[in-house]
Amino acid sequence: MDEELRAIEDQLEQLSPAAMPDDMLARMEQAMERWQETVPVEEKIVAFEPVKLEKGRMRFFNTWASAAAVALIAATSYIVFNSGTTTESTIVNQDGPIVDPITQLVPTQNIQNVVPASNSQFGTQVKRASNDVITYDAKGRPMRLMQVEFEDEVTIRGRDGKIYKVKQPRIEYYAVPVEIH
Amino acid sequence: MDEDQENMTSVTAQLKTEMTWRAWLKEHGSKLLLFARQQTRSIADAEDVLQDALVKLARKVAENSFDGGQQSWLPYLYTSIRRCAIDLGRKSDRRGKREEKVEMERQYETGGKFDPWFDSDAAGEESRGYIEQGLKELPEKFSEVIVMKVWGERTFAEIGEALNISQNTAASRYRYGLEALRKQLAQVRNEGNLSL
Repeated sequence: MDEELRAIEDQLEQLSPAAMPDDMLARMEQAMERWQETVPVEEKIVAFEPVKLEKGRMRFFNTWASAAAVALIAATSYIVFNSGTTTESTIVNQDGPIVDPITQLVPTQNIQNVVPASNSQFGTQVKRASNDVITYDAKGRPMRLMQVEFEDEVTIRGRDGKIYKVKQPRIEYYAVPVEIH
Repeated sequence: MDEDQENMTSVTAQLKTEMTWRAWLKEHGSKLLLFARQQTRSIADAEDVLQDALVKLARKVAENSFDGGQQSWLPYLYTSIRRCAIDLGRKSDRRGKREEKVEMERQYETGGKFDPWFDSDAAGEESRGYIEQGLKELPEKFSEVIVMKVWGERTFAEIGEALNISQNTAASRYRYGLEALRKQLAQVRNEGNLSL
């Protein structure tokens, strides 16, 4: 280090950092004595058991996907009920059981017989909701996981003129960022 | 040892710790506060990050989870203050520019007299002010090394560890920082404003 820099260094060393005021000193000392009362931010969020989600199950709410799913239920149910075989599904009336999962009823023929569902023919009810799970996204941000169980109901009319109600359970997951203070 | 003796031992240990904290803060608090001021935008923020760092240290010492003895407290605190300042800076970005502008204007108008970093020394109030202003105007990567080296009395190895840079980089930044400060003060001297 050359002489000029040494001179600057000597100049700086002549300065003394301003003393900590007495009131600040007292606050610091008190805070250190009462460290138990200070909870670090990272400990304010209590992590629950991470929920192992099936791949592709966790998704955000999508209105169009839900409507499309219900419409598909209606269309498939119409075909099934009018195909003469009802062993793969269950017709629900006011007291009947719930229809089998949609994946078993994908139509492969008679598409022209599908009757598009209208708004008045299907509805959705929230059966149950829970939000007691906290998980983390890829960036490590805490997210509150809400599980909402829906029951989609489709009202259809068979060829015999009878009214049938098809109920399909559906579970949606919503991830809501947890606000951290 | 019966219960009374155990309680007395615990109280005595606690009193010793309290006395130690106060005495230790009186000796080292000013240099830590200086570093906290250099790392933050206001005296209030400096106090916050310093307190956070001190509380973390107190907790580790109380829980007996601190690696190293009392000689390691200062290096730990410099690292902790810097991390707390970075975290606070990220949160402060969301507060908006207005608060920062108000604080900077206040510092500029008072020449740093409102919250001086240093006590006035033999060189005088004016010199203190210009040197302090020069430090504040330096790029942060230079000023933080200078503050840790000159007043924190840290080695370049300790500075490198705290700032997550190599020892050689710390030494280079120190030299470049002093050079930049020297040029600033030379300019002020040439303008006749400083009796150096």
